[in-house]
Amino acid sequence: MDKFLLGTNPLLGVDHMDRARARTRRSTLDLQAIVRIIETSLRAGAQGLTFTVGPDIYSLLVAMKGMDVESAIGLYPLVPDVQTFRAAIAEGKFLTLAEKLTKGLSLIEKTAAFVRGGVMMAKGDPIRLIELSVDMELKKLTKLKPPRATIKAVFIHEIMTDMAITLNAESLMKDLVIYISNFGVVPGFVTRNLCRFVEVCRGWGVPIERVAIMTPINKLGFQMTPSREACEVVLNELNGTKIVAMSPLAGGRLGLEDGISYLKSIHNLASIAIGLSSEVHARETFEYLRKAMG
Amino acid sequence: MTHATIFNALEESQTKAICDRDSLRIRFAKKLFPKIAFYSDYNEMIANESLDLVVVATPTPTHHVVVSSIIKSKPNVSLLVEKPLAVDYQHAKDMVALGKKSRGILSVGYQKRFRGTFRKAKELLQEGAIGEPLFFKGSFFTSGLAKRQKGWRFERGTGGVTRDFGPHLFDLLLWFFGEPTSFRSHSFSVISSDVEDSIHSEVSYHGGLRGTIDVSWVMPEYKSQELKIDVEGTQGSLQVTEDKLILQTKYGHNSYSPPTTRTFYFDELTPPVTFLFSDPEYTLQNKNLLWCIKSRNIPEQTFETAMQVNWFIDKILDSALPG
Repeated sequence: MDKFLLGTNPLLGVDHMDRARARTRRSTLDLQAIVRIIETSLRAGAQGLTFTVGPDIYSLLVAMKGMDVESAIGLYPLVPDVQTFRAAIAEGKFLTLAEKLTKGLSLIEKTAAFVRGGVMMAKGDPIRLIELSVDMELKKLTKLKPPRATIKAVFIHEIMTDMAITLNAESLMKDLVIYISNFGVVPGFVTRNLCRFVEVCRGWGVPIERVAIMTPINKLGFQMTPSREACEVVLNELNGTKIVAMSPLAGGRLGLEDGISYLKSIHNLASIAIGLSSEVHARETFEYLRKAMG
Repeated sequence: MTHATIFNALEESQTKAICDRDSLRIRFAKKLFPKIAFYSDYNEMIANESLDLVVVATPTPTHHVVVSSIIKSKPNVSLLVEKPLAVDYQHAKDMVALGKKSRGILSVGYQKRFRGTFRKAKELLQEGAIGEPLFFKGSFFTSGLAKRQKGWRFERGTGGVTRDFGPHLFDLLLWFFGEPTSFRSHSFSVISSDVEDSIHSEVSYHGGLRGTIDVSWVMPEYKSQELKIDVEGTQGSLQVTEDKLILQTKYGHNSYSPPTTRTFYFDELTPPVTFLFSDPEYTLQNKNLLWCIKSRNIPEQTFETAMQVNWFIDKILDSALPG
């Protein structure tokens, strides 16, 4: 696991604090400008990227191939593409979902996926289908990523994680840990309900010391459920689990120094994922992070 | 599944059963979530299960028949119906009448009332923080519709942006300002053939308040849904969105004081939740409903307030000229 990760969602117009700001950013940042921000981040100390898979990120990865950066890049994708997944399932359009998931793959890969998916559909096996969707995303990432980039961990999107831990999808959680580990990468989960996640997974015997957890951690307690204090207790108890702090600046509400000084008090952080929106901001942020926590 | 997840996460409730008419989804869901009972017939579910609350998240044209069936067979069951309550005002009125036969708590999913920014705006308007409202601009935009689609959302009489997407904005406007006395609207079909994709409406109220309303699901730059209400008053103005509220007062303690501006962010206005899934207002709404059921209190968004939203929708559509 790399220590300093650039969260690319804000660059692609995802902003959970301010939708209007995200819209303005989307209209002013083209793909090349985003690539320049990523380049600057990597030169300043970022070691990897974290992002939700989807058409936007695949276009970005292709554009990153011409990047002028010599360092290795760790990739930390969040799967599945929940928007596509949810819309297709809600409308019962499984074929459309399969077409979207396999877009960009070779004819042989597509055919193999459709056959495998068809068998799983016939068997009514949702867990294998979810795993197949993870497989498709990893195949696309492997094909499209810049040569210096390596997939180091794969995170299950918070919508799927939090639904699974709440509606008792025990088999899904256990199987995903094994399935993702088989790719030689760290299996991870994103959650906005850390305390519940840890309690439920422990109860089920999910080996949380072998997984990575990406969760909001910040001084303001923004999105730390049920409270910052409760999350701190759980964070201090975890041993071996790789913790990735997201929203460390609470969506821009905290200054860099203020936000980072709080993170220093969390003793077992493996990584910090931070989103930003300009080259100047990228340089300042990662240089400061390297100095303060490197 | 959002409500099923949240209710199962809350201490006071447990999700016991889910009904879905899609057999493949049922097959998958049964294997994924083995502790929940799944049905393909809601009447069978209602008859077999001992339920205190049912969430009706079916297509709007089916709300009337589903709600009617539940109230007739299990009058003690409480209901949370997804917005809008009905396809039109007449059906909504019928459902309100039907609701009188229920002994349960009846509510409709207008959860934006639980979003901290809109709640604060209501409070500020009520306490006269900007004086008397003079005019407002309300808008709700998304890029949701990129190509012509089929289904009840896109059929005349059951769909269109005004019925399907606009109700959250209309509910907030009714909550803030009450009922307008006149409507003048224009509708625009940009992609769809049978329904409107955008609506522009001008409304006026007793006392002189005027407003403009714009709703559209064909705004490519709006990747996320954005709801915004700007209100100009005699003593100041406020702009409220899902994310923040900006309050500007023209005068401080007296007319010689300089104007002041204050920004409130949604997270500081939102009470903590024990479970965060999607936006916090879903959890807050559902928790409030459970409290209402337990304490026999009336929730904020009743069938009656939701019926007024249907009235608002009909008024806009009835007054609409093709753009």
